[in-house]
Amino acid sequence: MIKFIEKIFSGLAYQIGKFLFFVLLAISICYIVDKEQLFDILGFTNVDAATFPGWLRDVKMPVQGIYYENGNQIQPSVSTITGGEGSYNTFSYLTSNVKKEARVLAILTDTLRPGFYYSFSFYFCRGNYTVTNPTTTGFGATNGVNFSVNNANVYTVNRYTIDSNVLSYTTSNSSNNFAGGGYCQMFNYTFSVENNSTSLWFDIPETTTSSNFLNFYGYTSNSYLTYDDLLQSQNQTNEKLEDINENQQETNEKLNEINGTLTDSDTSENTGNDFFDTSSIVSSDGVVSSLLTLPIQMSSKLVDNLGGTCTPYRMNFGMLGKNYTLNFPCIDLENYFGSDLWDIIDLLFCGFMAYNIGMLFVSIYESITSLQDYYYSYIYQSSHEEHTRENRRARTPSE
Amino acid sequence: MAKAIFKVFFNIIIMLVNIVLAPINALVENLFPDFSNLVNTFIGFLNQFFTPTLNWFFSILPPNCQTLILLWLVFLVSFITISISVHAIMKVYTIIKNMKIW
Repeated sequence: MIKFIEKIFSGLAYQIGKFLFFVLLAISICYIVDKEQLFDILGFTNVDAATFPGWLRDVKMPVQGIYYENGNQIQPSVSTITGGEGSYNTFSYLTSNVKKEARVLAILTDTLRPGFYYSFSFYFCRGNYTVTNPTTTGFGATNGVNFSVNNANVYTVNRYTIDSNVLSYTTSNSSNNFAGGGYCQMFNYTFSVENNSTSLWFDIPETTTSSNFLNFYGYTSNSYLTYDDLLQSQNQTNEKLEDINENQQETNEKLNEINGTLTDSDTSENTGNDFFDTSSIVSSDGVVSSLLTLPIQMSSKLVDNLGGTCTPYRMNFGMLGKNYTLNFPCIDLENYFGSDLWDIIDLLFCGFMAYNIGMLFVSIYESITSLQDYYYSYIYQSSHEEHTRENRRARTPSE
Repeated sequence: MAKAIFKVFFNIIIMLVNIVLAPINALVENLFPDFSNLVNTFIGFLNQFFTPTLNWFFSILPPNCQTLILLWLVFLVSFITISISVHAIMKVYTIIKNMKIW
């Protein structure tokens, strides 16, 4: 029986090994993608007109900018935008024939620091869009700007930055089609930096239109903890829980002493079925059972997210004194392939899995039958040898 | 529905393993408390890193594939856990049975 189990185990271990290898390969690919900033291979598609989350009011102006187009510096024009929910001050660049190498050096009033995520929002507007009521914001000339273009398509963006100080970034965008006006596309750009910095390079999306209009609107920042910080806080929490458990044990002992002096009057019936609690898994109390049931606990957590939507995942950890972030972007292949092709891929993948599982069971069945042959031949041989031995004894006369 | 079935199945197995290994757990925790803390930290590390990564990996796959692969994974994990447990218990039983104190 044990030999049979061991023989089966060797085959299943190979299957699990293959699965884990694929998972580790996916992790390593994501790490490489993050470090080499190859997010442009994912890209964005042309977006349809959608509602902006809302224009920002009372925007602090943390950014001055220096705009370069084809290597030449261009002076900004400062203006007030009216539209959406109100008016607000901004600085803008009215450019022409913006090519792929157009980029902006944003000079910040605050310092970018490692350990924080920064979120920039800025708009690109194209089309018949009127800017009125010029005002001064502290730099540049004051000009009222009117421009109109023929091509009002909202833009595709492939990559955002070539700043070597940026550790990782994610982007999102949305657009709004102003009736009678043009298109504005808002980009949100969330990133973290490796070193302190007061400036940031980023690329402007490629355009074939004759005009471009770029506005900056504020930024926010959030801090994140490194893995070491998380471990420390976890250890502190564990110590507090141990203290609470000790206090709880003392309380329970005192209660037991008191209960021992009371008469038993419990008449309630157990109507609940706590054994089949589906809200959470039963935690393993012991060390050995925790180790043994570790794959089951991990599988249970995987099952919790079964059928969930794709979300990006950031894993922060510290190593050798530096903080790293592994950024796993959300890869929604259904949008990329289309729902019909995605269903076909689903069907083929399931068929492939079912075939492999079926072949595994076939090999298990063959193993069982071959073991039966082995045991049969063993039994037959041993009984045959015994019979032959008896015959030899019978033929040899005893002296 | 599938989630509920999986959860019940996991709960049953974990319960059985806890019951059978209760004396061994108590023995190890009393004799080697630092080892217990180390193992718990290691398990927390695995849960922190591998589980969200595997969740992200599964979120890429088509929905029916996710269910099928997880079903297969549950079967493999359960079968191996049970076979290892039976093998270990039989070994421990044999050792205890052969001890001369009886």
